[in-house]
Amino acid sequence: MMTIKPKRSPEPDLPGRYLVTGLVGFMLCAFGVPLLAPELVRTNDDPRVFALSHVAVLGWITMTMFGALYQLFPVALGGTVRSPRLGRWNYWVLATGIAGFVPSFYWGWTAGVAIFGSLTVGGVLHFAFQLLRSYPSVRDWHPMAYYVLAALVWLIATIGFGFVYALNWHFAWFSVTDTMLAAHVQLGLAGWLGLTLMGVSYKLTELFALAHGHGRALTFANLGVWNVALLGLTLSLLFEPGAWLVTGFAGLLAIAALLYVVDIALLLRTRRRRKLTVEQWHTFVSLGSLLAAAALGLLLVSGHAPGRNWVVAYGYAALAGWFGFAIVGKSYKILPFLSWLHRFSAVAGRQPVPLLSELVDQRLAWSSFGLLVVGFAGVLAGLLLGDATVVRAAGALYAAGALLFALNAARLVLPLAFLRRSHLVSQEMTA
Amino acid sequence: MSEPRLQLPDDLLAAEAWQQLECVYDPELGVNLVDLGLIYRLDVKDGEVQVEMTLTTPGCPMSDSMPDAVERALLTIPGVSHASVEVVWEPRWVPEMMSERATRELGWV
Repeated sequence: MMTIKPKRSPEPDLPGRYLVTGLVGFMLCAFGVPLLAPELVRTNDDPRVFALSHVAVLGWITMTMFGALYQLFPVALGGTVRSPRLGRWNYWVLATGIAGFVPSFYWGWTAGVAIFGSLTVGGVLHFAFQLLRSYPSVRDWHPMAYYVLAALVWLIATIGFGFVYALNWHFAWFSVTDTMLAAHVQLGLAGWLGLTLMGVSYKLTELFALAHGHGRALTFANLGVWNVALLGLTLSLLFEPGAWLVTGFAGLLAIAALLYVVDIALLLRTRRRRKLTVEQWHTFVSLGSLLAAAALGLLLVSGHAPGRNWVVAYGYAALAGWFGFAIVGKSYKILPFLSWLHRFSAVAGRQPVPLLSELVDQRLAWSSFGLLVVGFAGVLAGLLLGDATVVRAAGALYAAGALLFALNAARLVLPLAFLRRSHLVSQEMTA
Repeated sequence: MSEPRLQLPDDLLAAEAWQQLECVYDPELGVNLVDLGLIYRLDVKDGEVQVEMTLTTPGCPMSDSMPDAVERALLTIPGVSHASVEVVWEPRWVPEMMSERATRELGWV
Protein backbone atom coordinates (compact mmCIF):
# COMPACT_ATOMS: atom_id res chain seq x y z
CA MET A 1 0.00 0.00 0.00
CA MET A 2 1.36 3.43 -0.97
CA THR A 3 2.33 5.69 1.90
CA ILE A 4 3.79 9.17 1.86
CA LYS A 5 5.58 10.47 4.86
CA PRO A 6 4.14 13.94 5.41
CA LYS A 7 6.55 16.74 4.67
CA ARG A 8 7.34 19.08 7.49
CA SER A 9 6.26 22.64 6.92
CA PRO A 10 9.01 25.28 7.19
CA GLU A 11 9.74 27.23 10.35
CA PRO A 12 7.05 29.90 10.65
CA ASP A 13 9.45 32.82 10.52
CA LEU A 14 10.30 32.13 6.87
CA PRO A 15 6.82 32.66 5.36
CA GLY A 16 5.92 34.88 8.32
CA ARG A 17 8.42 37.66 7.59
CA TYR A 18 7.28 37.89 3.96
CA LEU A 19 3.61 37.90 4.98
CA VAL A 20 4.13 40.63 7.58
CA THR A 21 5.95 42.78 5.02
CA GLY A 22 3.12 42.13 2.57
CA LEU A 23 0.69 43.40 5.17
CA VAL A 24 2.72 46.60 5.55
CA GLY A 25 2.74 46.96 1.76
CA PHE A 26 -1.04 46.57 1.69
CA MET A 27 -1.45 49.36 4.24
CA LEU A 28 0.83 51.67 2.23
CA CYS A 29 -1.22 51.00 -0.92
CA ALA A 30 -4.57 51.41 0.81
CA PHE A 31 -3.57 54.79 2.27
CA GLY A 32 -1.58 55.78 -0.80
CA VAL A 33 -4.59 55.74 -3.14
CA PRO A 34 -6.58 58.54 -1.43
CA LEU A 35 -3.38 60.54 -0.88
CA LEU A 36 -2.37 60.34 -4.54
CA ALA A 37 -5.90 60.72 -5.93
CA PRO A 38 -5.10 63.82 -8.08
CA GLU A 39 -2.15 62.09 -9.73
CA LEU A 40 -4.06 58.85 -10.26
CA VAL A 41 -6.97 60.45 -12.13
CA ARG A 42 -4.59 62.40 -14.36
CA THR A 43 -2.22 59.81 -15.81
CA ASN A 44 -0.36 56.58 -15.32
CA ASP A 45 2.85 58.22 -16.52
CA ASP A 46 3.90 59.84 -13.25
CA PRO A 47 6.78 58.78 -10.97
CA ARG A 48 4.48 58.85 -7.94
CA VAL A 49 2.00 56.55 -9.69
CA PHE A 50 4.91 54.28 -10.65
CA ALA A 51 5.98 54.27 -6.99
CA LEU A 52 2.49 53.35 -5.78
CA SER A 53 2.07 50.61 -8.38
CA HIS A 54 5.42 49.09 -7.36
CA VAL A 55 4.48 49.18 -3.68
CA ALA A 56 1.40 47.19 -4.70
CA VAL A 57 3.12 44.77 -7.03
CA LEU A 58 6.34 44.19 -5.10
CA GLY A 59 5.77 45.30 -1.51
CA TRP A 60 2.28 43.90 -1.09
CA ILE A 61 1.39 41.21 -3.62
CA THR A 62 4.78 39.69 -4.48
CA MET A 63 5.90 39.66 -0.83
CA THR A 64 2.64 37.95 0.15
CA MET A 65 2.98 35.43 -2.67
CA PHE A 66 6.57 34.63 -1.72
CA GLY A 67 5.46 33.99 1.88
CA ALA A 68 2.49 31.90 0.76
CA LEU A 69 4.62 29.84 -1.62
CA TYR A 70 7.25 29.17 1.05
CA GLN A 71 4.41 27.78 3.15
CA LEU A 72 2.39 26.01 0.45
CA PHE A 73 5.18 24.47 -1.63
CA PRO A 74 5.98 21.83 1.01
CA VAL A 75 2.47 21.22 2.33
CA ALA A 76 0.45 21.44 -0.88
CA LEU A 77 2.88 19.95 -3.38
CA GLY A 78 4.90 17.74 -1.03
CA GLY A 79 8.15 19.40 -2.11
CA THR A 80 11.12 20.52 -0.05
CA VAL A 81 12.25 24.13 -0.32
CA ARG A 82 15.98 24.27 -0.96
CA SER A 83 18.06 26.37 1.44
CA PRO A 84 15.47 28.02 3.72
CA ARG A 85 18.39 29.77 5.43
CA LEU A 86 19.22 31.56 2.19
CA GLY A 87 15.53 32.42 1.92
CA ARG A 88 15.80 34.24 5.27
CA TRP A 89 18.83 36.21 4.13
CA ASN A 90 17.26 36.90 0.80
CA TYR A 91 14.30 38.50 2.55
CA TRP A 92 16.58 41.30 3.75
CA VAL A 93 18.01 41.84 0.27
CA LEU A 94 14.53 42.03 -1.25
CA ALA A 95 13.01 44.14 1.53
CA THR A 96 15.93 46.62 1.41
CA GLY A 97 15.68 46.77 -2.37
CA ILE A 98 11.94 47.53 -2.36
CA ALA A 99 12.25 49.96 0.56
CA GLY A 100 14.81 51.97 -1.43
CA PHE A 101 13.37 51.45 -4.89
CA VAL A 102 9.90 52.83 -4.20
CA PRO A 103 10.96 56.18 -2.63
CA SER A 104 13.56 56.56 -5.40
CA PHE A 105 10.74 56.25 -7.92
CA TYR A 106 8.55 58.64 -5.93
CA TRP A 107 11.17 61.39 -5.83
CA GLY A 108 12.55 60.62 -9.29
CA TRP A 109 16.04 59.74 -8.03
CA THR A 110 17.22 57.76 -11.04
CA ALA A 111 20.46 56.54 -9.43
CA GLY A 112 18.39 55.19 -6.49
CA VAL A 113 16.06 53.41 -8.91
CA ALA A 114 19.10 51.76 -10.54
CA ILE A 115 20.84 50.83 -7.25
CA PHE A 116 17.83 49.63 -5.27
CA GLY A 117 16.26 48.19 -8.42
CA SER A 118 19.32 45.98 -8.76
CA LEU A 119 18.93 44.78 -5.16
CA THR A 120 15.25 44.05 -5.79
CA VAL A 121 16.10 42.14 -8.96
CA GLY A 122 18.66 40.11 -7.01
CA GLY A 123 16.11 39.26 -4.32
CA VAL A 124 13.39 38.29 -6.78
CA LEU A 125 15.70 36.22 -8.99
CA HIS A 126 17.06 34.42 -5.96
CA PHE A 127 13.55 33.44 -4.90
CA ALA A 128 12.67 32.28 -8.42
CA PHE A 129 15.79 30.13 -8.75
CA GLN A 130 15.39 28.83 -5.20
CA LEU A 131 11.91 27.53 -6.02
CA LEU A 132 12.90 26.26 -9.47
CA ARG A 133 15.74 24.29 -7.86
CA SER A 134 13.20 22.82 -5.44
CA TYR A 135 10.87 21.55 -8.19
CA PRO A 136 12.50 18.12 -8.62
CA SER A 137 11.32 17.31 -5.07
CA VAL A 138 7.62 17.89 -5.88
CA ARG A 139 5.56 14.78 -5.09
CA ASP A 140 2.04 15.90 -5.95
CA TRP A 141 1.86 17.30 -9.48
CA HIS A 142 -1.40 19.12 -8.88
CA PRO A 143 -2.24 21.80 -11.52
CA MET A 144 -0.92 24.35 -9.00
CA ALA A 145 2.58 22.97 -9.60
CA TYR A 146 2.35 23.70 -13.34
CA TYR A 147 0.80 27.14 -12.88
CA VAL A 148 3.48 28.23 -10.41
CA LEU A 149 6.24 26.80 -12.61
CA ALA A 150 5.01 28.87 -15.56
CA ALA A 151 4.62 31.89 -13.27
CA LEU A 152 8.26 31.64 -12.17
CA VAL A 153 9.44 31.73 -15.77
CA TRP A 154 7.31 34.84 -16.41
CA LEU A 155 8.64 36.36 -13.18
CA ILE A 156 12.19 36.09 -14.47
CA ALA A 157 11.13 37.71 -17.75
CA THR A 158 9.23 40.49 -15.92
CA ILE A 159 12.10 41.33 -13.64
CA GLY A 160 14.51 41.22 -16.59
CA PHE A 161 12.50 43.84 -18.45
CA GLY A 162 12.08 45.90 -15.28
CA PHE A 163 15.81 45.79 -14.57
CA VAL A 164 16.69 47.05 -18.04
CA TYR A 165 14.08 49.85 -17.79
CA ALA A 166 15.30 50.86 -14.31
CA LEU A 167 18.93 51.09 -15.48
CA ASN A 168 17.82 52.80 -18.65
CA TRP A 169 16.03 55.51 -16.68
CA HIS A 170 19.42 56.48 -15.21
CA PHE A 171 21.74 55.82 -18.16
CA ALA A 172 19.29 56.72 -20.95
CA TRP A 173 20.49 54.06 -23.41
CA PHE A 174 17.30 54.02 -25.45
CA SER A 175 13.80 55.44 -25.48
CA VAL A 176 11.22 53.31 -23.65
CA THR A 177 7.91 53.35 -25.50
CA ASP A 178 4.42 52.89 -24.03
CA THR A 179 4.11 49.47 -25.62
CA MET A 180 7.44 48.35 -24.11
CA LEU A 181 6.18 49.39 -20.68
CA ALA A 182 2.88 47.63 -21.39
CA ALA A 183 4.77 44.39 -22.13
CA HIS A 184 6.52 44.64 -18.73
CA VAL A 185 3.18 45.30 -17.00
CA GLN A 186 1.42 42.39 -18.74
CA LEU A 187 4.24 39.98 -17.96
CA GLY A 188 4.03 40.95 -14.29
CA LEU A 189 0.24 41.01 -13.97
CA ALA A 190 -0.86 38.13 -16.17
CA GLY A 191 2.37 36.12 -16.08
CA TRP A 192 3.85 36.14 -12.59
CA LEU A 193 0.98 37.34 -10.39
CA GLY A 194 -1.93 35.92 -12.40
CA LEU A 195 -0.63 32.40 -12.91
CA THR A 196 0.54 32.13 -9.30
CA LEU A 197 -2.82 33.28 -7.98
CA MET A 198 -4.74 30.94 -10.27
CA GLY A 199 -2.61 27.93 -9.39
CA VAL A 200 -2.82 28.56 -5.65
CA SER A 201 -6.58 29.23 -5.94
CA TYR A 202 -7.23 25.86 -7.57
CA LYS A 203 -5.48 24.11 -4.70
CA LEU A 204 -6.93 26.15 -1.85
CA THR A 205 -10.48 26.08 -3.22
CA GLU A 206 -10.34 22.29 -3.34
CA LEU A 207 -8.94 22.14 0.16
CA PHE A 208 -11.07 24.62 1.99
CA ALA A 209 -14.38 24.08 0.20
CA LEU A 210 -13.85 20.31 0.28
CA ALA A 211 -14.41 20.24 -3.46
CA HIS A 212 -13.78 16.83 -5.00
CA GLY A 213 -14.40 15.20 -8.35
CA HIS A 214 -13.84 18.25 -10.54
CA GLY A 215 -12.22 17.38 -13.87
CA ARG A 216 -8.96 19.08 -14.83
CA ALA A 217 -9.42 19.42 -18.59
CA LEU A 218 -10.57 23.04 -18.39
CA THR A 219 -7.85 23.83 -15.82
CA PHE A 220 -5.09 22.69 -18.19
CA ALA A 221 -6.83 24.21 -21.22
CA ASN A 222 -6.82 27.57 -19.44
CA LEU A 223 -3.14 27.16 -18.60
CA GLY A 224 -2.31 26.56 -22.26
CA VAL A 225 -4.49 29.35 -23.69
CA TRP A 226 -3.31 31.82 -21.05
CA ASN A 227 0.38 31.21 -21.76
CA VAL A 228 0.01 31.29 -25.54
CA ALA A 229 -2.03 34.51 -25.31
CA LEU A 230 0.49 36.13 -22.99
CA LEU A 231 3.45 35.18 -25.14
CA GLY A 232 1.69 36.48 -28.24
CA LEU A 233 0.64 39.69 -26.50
CA THR A 234 4.15 40.36 -25.18
CA LEU A 235 5.81 39.76 -28.55
CA SER A 236 3.25 41.84 -30.43
CA LEU A 237 3.64 44.70 -27.92
CA LEU A 238 7.43 44.60 -28.23
CA PHE A 239 7.78 44.24 -31.98
CA GLU A 240 4.58 46.07 -32.97
CA PRO A 241 3.76 44.06 -36.10
CA GLY A 242 0.23 45.48 -36.06
CA ALA A 243 -2.40 46.73 -33.64
CA TRP A 244 -4.83 43.98 -34.70
CA LEU A 245 -2.41 41.34 -33.38
CA VAL A 246 -2.20 43.06 -29.98
CA THR A 247 -6.00 43.21 -29.81
CA GLY A 248 -6.27 39.59 -30.94
CA PHE A 249 -3.94 38.28 -28.24
CA ALA A 250 -5.52 40.52 -25.59
CA GLY A 251 -8.88 39.03 -26.65
CA LEU A 252 -7.44 35.53 -26.28
CA LEU A 253 -6.20 36.43 -22.80
CA ALA A 254 -9.69 37.71 -21.93
CA ILE A 255 -11.15 34.39 -23.14
CA ALA A 256 -8.67 32.56 -20.91
CA ALA A 257 -9.77 34.74 -17.98
CA LEU A 258 -13.37 33.75 -18.67
CA LEU A 259 -12.37 30.08 -18.87
CA TYR A 260 -10.73 30.41 -15.46
CA VAL A 261 -13.78 32.03 -13.88
CA VAL A 262 -16.06 29.32 -15.31
CA ASP A 263 -13.65 26.62 -14.11
CA ILE A 264 -13.57 27.98 -10.54
CA ALA A 265 -17.38 28.25 -10.57
CA LEU A 266 -17.63 24.59 -11.66
CA LEU A 267 -15.09 23.62 -8.99
CA LEU A 268 -17.14 25.39 -6.34
CA ARG A 269 -20.25 23.52 -7.46
CA THR A 270 -18.61 20.28 -6.31
CA ARG A 271 -17.92 21.66 -2.84
CA ARG A 272 -19.11 19.73 0.21
CA ARG A 273 -19.17 22.73 2.51
CA ARG A 274 -22.39 24.36 1.58
CA LYS A 275 -22.17 27.52 3.65
CA LEU A 276 -20.27 30.32 1.91
CA THR A 277 -17.50 31.80 4.02
CA VAL A 278 -16.10 35.32 4.13
CA GLU A 279 -13.12 34.00 2.15
CA GLN A 280 -15.41 32.84 -0.66
CA TRP A 281 -17.19 36.18 -0.87
CA HIS A 282 -13.81 37.82 -1.35
CA THR A 283 -13.16 35.29 -4.12
CA PHE A 284 -16.38 36.26 -5.93
CA VAL A 285 -15.39 39.96 -5.92
CA SER A 286 -11.90 38.98 -7.07
CA LEU A 287 -13.26 36.98 -10.02
CA GLY A 288 -15.64 39.79 -10.98
CA SER A 289 -12.69 42.21 -10.90
CA LEU A 290 -10.66 39.92 -13.15
CA LEU A 291 -13.43 40.06 -15.77
CA ALA A 292 -13.67 43.85 -15.36
CA ALA A 293 -9.89 44.19 -15.79
CA ALA A 294 -9.97 41.94 -18.87
CA ALA A 295 -12.72 44.08 -20.42
CA LEU A 296 -10.83 47.30 -19.62
CA GLY A 297 -7.64 45.83 -21.05
CA LEU A 298 -9.42 45.02 -24.31
CA LEU A 299 -10.78 48.56 -24.53
CA LEU A 300 -7.30 49.98 -23.94
CA VAL A 301 -5.47 47.92 -26.56
CA SER A 302 -8.22 48.46 -29.14
CA GLY A 303 -7.89 52.23 -28.67
CA HIS A 304 -11.36 52.79 -27.20
CA ALA A 305 -10.26 54.21 -23.84
CA PRO A 306 -11.04 57.92 -23.46
CA GLY A 307 -7.93 58.83 -21.43
CA ARG A 308 -4.83 57.72 -19.55
CA ASN A 309 -6.84 57.54 -16.33
CA TRP A 310 -8.37 54.37 -17.81
CA VAL A 311 -4.92 52.77 -17.78
CA VAL A 312 -4.78 53.49 -14.04
CA ALA A 313 -8.33 52.09 -13.66
CA TYR A 314 -7.23 48.92 -15.46
CA GLY A 315 -4.25 48.51 -13.11
CA TYR A 316 -6.43 49.22 -10.08
CA ALA A 317 -9.07 46.66 -11.12
CA ALA A 318 -6.34 44.03 -11.52
CA LEU A 319 -4.22 44.87 -8.44
CA ALA A 320 -6.76 45.90 -5.80
CA GLY A 321 -9.65 43.93 -7.31
CA TRP A 322 -8.45 40.63 -8.68
CA PHE A 323 -5.29 40.12 -6.59
CA GLY A 324 -6.26 42.24 -3.58
CA PHE A 325 -9.57 40.56 -2.78
CA ALA A 326 -8.10 37.13 -3.44
CA ILE A 327 -5.18 37.81 -1.08
CA VAL A 328 -7.32 39.28 1.69
CA GLY A 329 -9.85 36.43 1.39
CA LYS A 330 -7.25 33.67 1.35
CA SER A 331 -5.48 35.29 4.30
CA TYR A 332 -8.52 34.39 6.39
CA LYS A 333 -7.56 30.77 5.73
CA ILE A 334 -3.76 30.82 5.45
CA LEU A 335 -3.00 33.01 8.48
CA PRO A 336 -5.16 31.13 11.02
CA PHE A 337 -3.77 27.88 9.64
CA LEU A 338 -0.20 29.08 10.16
CA SER A 339 -1.05 30.34 13.61
CA TRP A 340 -2.89 27.14 14.59
CA LEU A 341 -0.12 24.94 13.28
CA HIS A 342 2.52 26.61 15.37
CA ARG A 343 0.45 27.30 18.47
CA PHE A 344 -1.82 24.29 18.87
CA SER A 345 -0.61 21.39 16.73
CA ALA A 346 1.66 20.15 19.53
CA VAL A 347 -1.26 19.69 21.92
CA ALA A 348 -4.08 18.71 19.52
CA GLY A 349 -5.45 15.31 20.50
CA ARG A 350 -4.40 15.76 24.12
CA GLN A 351 -6.54 18.76 24.93
CA PRO A 352 -9.31 20.77 23.24
CA VAL A 353 -7.99 23.21 20.64
CA PRO A 354 -9.82 25.95 18.75
CA LEU A 355 -11.04 25.66 15.17
CA LEU A 356 -9.34 27.83 12.56
CA SER A 357 -12.46 29.93 12.11
CA GLU A 358 -12.42 30.71 15.83
CA LEU A 359 -9.01 32.35 15.52
CA VAL A 360 -10.44 35.00 13.21
CA ASP A 361 -12.73 37.77 14.45
CA GLN A 362 -15.58 37.11 12.00
CA ARG A 363 -17.43 40.35 12.73
CA LEU A 364 -14.30 42.34 11.98
CA ALA A 365 -13.75 40.29 8.82
CA TRP A 366 -17.25 40.96 7.47
CA SER A 367 -17.03 44.67 8.35
CA SER A 368 -13.70 44.89 6.56
CA PHE A 369 -15.16 43.11 3.51
CA GLY A 370 -18.07 45.57 3.29
CA LEU A 371 -15.77 48.60 3.45
CA LEU A 372 -13.32 47.12 0.95
CA VAL A 373 -16.06 46.35 -1.58
CA VAL A 374 -17.71 49.78 -1.36
CA GLY A 375 -14.33 51.54 -1.36
CA PHE A 376 -13.01 49.51 -4.29
CA ALA A 377 -16.12 50.11 -6.44
CA GLY A 378 -16.00 53.83 -5.61
CA VAL A 379 -12.30 54.21 -6.44
CA LEU A 380 -12.74 52.34 -9.71
CA ALA A 381 -15.70 54.56 -10.66
CA GLY A 382 -13.73 57.68 -9.67
CA LEU A 383 -10.76 56.63 -11.78
CA LEU A 384 -12.94 55.94 -14.82
CA LEU A 385 -14.72 59.28 -14.39
CA GLY A 386 -11.46 61.10 -13.68
CA ASP A 387 -12.88 62.48 -10.42
CA ALA A 388 -10.24 62.88 -7.68
CA THR A 389 -12.80 63.68 -4.97
CA VAL A 390 -14.61 60.38 -5.54
CA VAL A 391 -11.28 58.51 -5.56
CA ARG A 392 -10.25 60.21 -2.32
CA ALA A 393 -13.54 59.55 -0.49
CA ALA A 394 -13.89 55.95 -1.67
CA GLY A 395 -10.17 55.37 -1.12
CA ALA A 396 -10.61 56.40 2.52
CA LEU A 397 -13.37 53.79 2.92
CA TYR A 398 -11.12 51.19 1.33
CA ALA A 399 -8.28 52.18 3.68
CA ALA A 400 -10.60 51.77 6.68
CA GLY A 401 -11.50 48.27 5.46
CA ALA A 402 -7.82 47.47 4.99
CA LEU A 403 -7.10 48.63 8.53
CA LEU A 404 -9.78 46.33 9.96
CA PHE A 405 -8.27 43.45 8.00
CA ALA A 406 -4.81 44.33 9.29
CA LEU A 407 -6.05 44.29 12.89
CA ASN A 408 -7.40 40.79 12.35
CA ALA A 409 -4.31 39.58 10.53
CA ALA A 410 -1.64 41.20 12.69
CA ARG A 411 -2.43 39.30 15.87
CA LEU A 412 -2.20 36.02 13.93
CA VAL A 413 0.87 36.66 11.85
CA LEU A 414 3.06 39.04 13.87
CA PRO A 415 4.34 36.43 16.34
CA LEU A 416 5.20 34.13 13.42
CA ALA A 417 7.56 36.59 11.81
CA PHE A 418 10.00 36.54 14.65
CA LEU A 419 9.75 33.19 16.36
CA ARG A 420 10.76 29.71 15.37
CA ARG A 421 8.37 26.77 15.81
CA SER A 422 10.18 25.40 18.85
CA HIS A 423 9.75 28.67 20.73
CA LEU A 424 6.04 28.89 19.97
CA VAL A 425 5.30 25.31 20.90
CA SER A 426 7.18 25.55 24.16
CA GLN A 427 5.23 28.71 24.99
CA GLU A 428 1.93 26.89 24.45
CA MET A 429 3.06 23.89 26.46
CA THR A 430 4.01 26.11 29.39
CA ALA A 431 0.77 28.10 29.23
CA MET B 1 10.03 1.62 39.86
CA SER B 2 7.47 1.97 37.06
CA GLU B 3 3.75 1.77 37.80
CA PRO B 4 1.97 -1.46 36.86
CA ARG B 5 0.30 -1.07 33.44
CA LEU B 6 -3.50 -1.24 33.33
CA GLN B 7 -4.54 -4.35 31.42
CA LEU B 8 -7.82 -4.10 29.51
CA PRO B 9 -9.28 -6.45 26.92
CA ASP B 10 -8.34 -5.43 23.40
CA ASP B 11 -11.93 -5.11 22.19
CA LEU B 12 -12.73 -2.77 25.08
CA LEU B 13 -9.66 -0.71 24.25
CA ALA B 14 -10.67 -0.60 20.59
CA ALA B 15 -14.12 0.74 21.48
CA GLU B 16 -12.48 3.31 23.75
CA ALA B 17 -10.04 4.28 20.98
CA TRP B 18 -12.81 4.90 18.44
CA GLN B 19 -14.60 7.02 21.02
CA GLN B 20 -11.43 8.96 21.73
CA LEU B 21 -10.84 9.65 18.04
CA GLU B 22 -14.31 11.18 17.84
CA CYS B 23 -12.83 13.96 19.98
CA VAL B 24 -10.11 14.78 17.45
CA TYR B 25 -11.40 17.45 15.10
CA ASP B 26 -10.24 18.68 11.74
CA PRO B 27 -9.67 22.30 12.79
CA GLU B 28 -10.65 23.63 9.37
CA LEU B 29 -13.85 21.67 8.87
CA GLY B 30 -14.94 21.44 12.50
CA VAL B 31 -15.86 17.74 12.09
CA ASN B 32 -14.21 14.86 13.92
CA LEU B 33 -11.93 12.50 12.03
CA VAL B 34 -14.15 9.43 12.53
CA ASP B 35 -17.23 11.12 11.04
CA LEU B 36 -15.12 12.47 8.21
CA GLY B 37 -14.28 8.86 7.36
CA LEU B 38 -10.56 9.46 7.64
CA ILE B 39 -9.85 6.51 9.95
CA TYR B 40 -9.59 3.43 7.73
CA ARG B 41 -8.49 0.82 10.23
CA LEU B 42 -7.94 0.55 13.97
CA ASP B 43 -6.38 -2.59 15.50
CA VAL B 44 -5.51 -3.27 19.11
CA LYS B 45 -3.20 -6.04 20.24
CA ASP B 46 -1.87 -6.35 23.77
CA GLY B 47 -2.50 -2.69 24.49
CA GLU B 48 -0.80 -1.52 21.30
CA VAL B 49 -2.98 0.43 18.89
CA GLN B 50 -2.32 0.60 15.18
CA VAL B 51 -4.25 3.10 13.07
CA GLU B 52 -4.41 3.48 9.34
CA MET B 53 -5.79 6.82 8.33
CA THR B 54 -5.93 9.17 5.40
CA LEU B 55 -6.47 12.86 4.77
CA THR B 56 -9.00 14.55 2.53
CA THR B 57 -6.30 15.24 -0.08
CA PRO B 58 -2.56 14.51 -0.38
CA GLY B 59 -1.81 18.23 -0.20
CA CYS B 60 -3.77 18.70 3.01
CA PRO B 61 -2.10 21.39 5.10
CA MET B 62 -2.87 19.35 8.21
CA SER B 63 -0.84 16.40 6.95
CA ASP B 64 1.79 17.08 9.60
CA SER B 65 -0.42 17.54 12.57
CA MET B 66 -3.46 15.26 12.25
CA PRO B 67 -1.58 11.94 12.51
CA ASP B 68 0.31 13.30 15.51
CA ALA B 69 -2.96 14.40 17.12
CA VAL B 70 -4.42 10.93 16.61
CA GLU B 71 -1.36 9.34 18.23
CA ARG B 72 -1.56 11.70 21.19
CA ALA B 73 -5.30 11.08 21.64
CA LEU B 74 -4.77 7.31 21.69
CA LEU B 75 -1.99 7.55 24.25
CA THR B 76 -4.30 9.34 26.68
CA ILE B 77 -6.39 6.13 27.01
CA PRO B 78 -5.47 4.19 30.15
CA GLY B 79 -4.20 0.80 29.07
CA VAL B 80 -2.76 1.90 25.74
CA SER B 81 0.97 1.33 25.88
CA HIS B 82 1.87 2.24 22.32
CA ALA B 83 0.15 3.89 19.37
CA SER B 84 1.29 4.04 15.78
CA VAL B 85 -0.40 5.92 12.96
CA GLU B 86 0.18 5.32 9.28
CA VAL B 87 -1.09 7.73 6.65
CA VAL B 88 -2.24 5.96 3.49
CA TRP B 89 -3.61 7.31 0.21
CA GLU B 90 -5.26 4.21 -1.10
CA PRO B 91 -8.16 4.03 -1.28
CA ARG B 92 -8.28 7.75 -1.93
CA TRP B 93 -10.71 9.58 0.34
CA VAL B 94 -13.98 10.65 -1.27
CA PRO B 95 -16.74 12.74 0.34
CA GLU B 96 -19.08 9.73 0.27
CA MET B 97 -16.96 8.27 3.09
CA MET B 98 -18.32 10.90 5.49
CA SER B 99 -21.04 9.94 7.96
CA GLU B 100 -24.50 11.46 7.72
CA ARG B 101 -23.67 13.52 10.79
CA ALA B 102 -20.64 15.00 9.05
CA THR B 103 -22.55 15.92 5.89
CA ARG B 104 -25.20 17.52 8.10
CA GLU B 105 -22.58 19.52 10.00
CA LEU B 106 -21.11 20.74 6.72
CA GLY B 107 -24.58 21.94 5.76
CA TRP B 108 -25.10 19.53 2.90
CA VAL B 109 -28.30 17.76 4.04
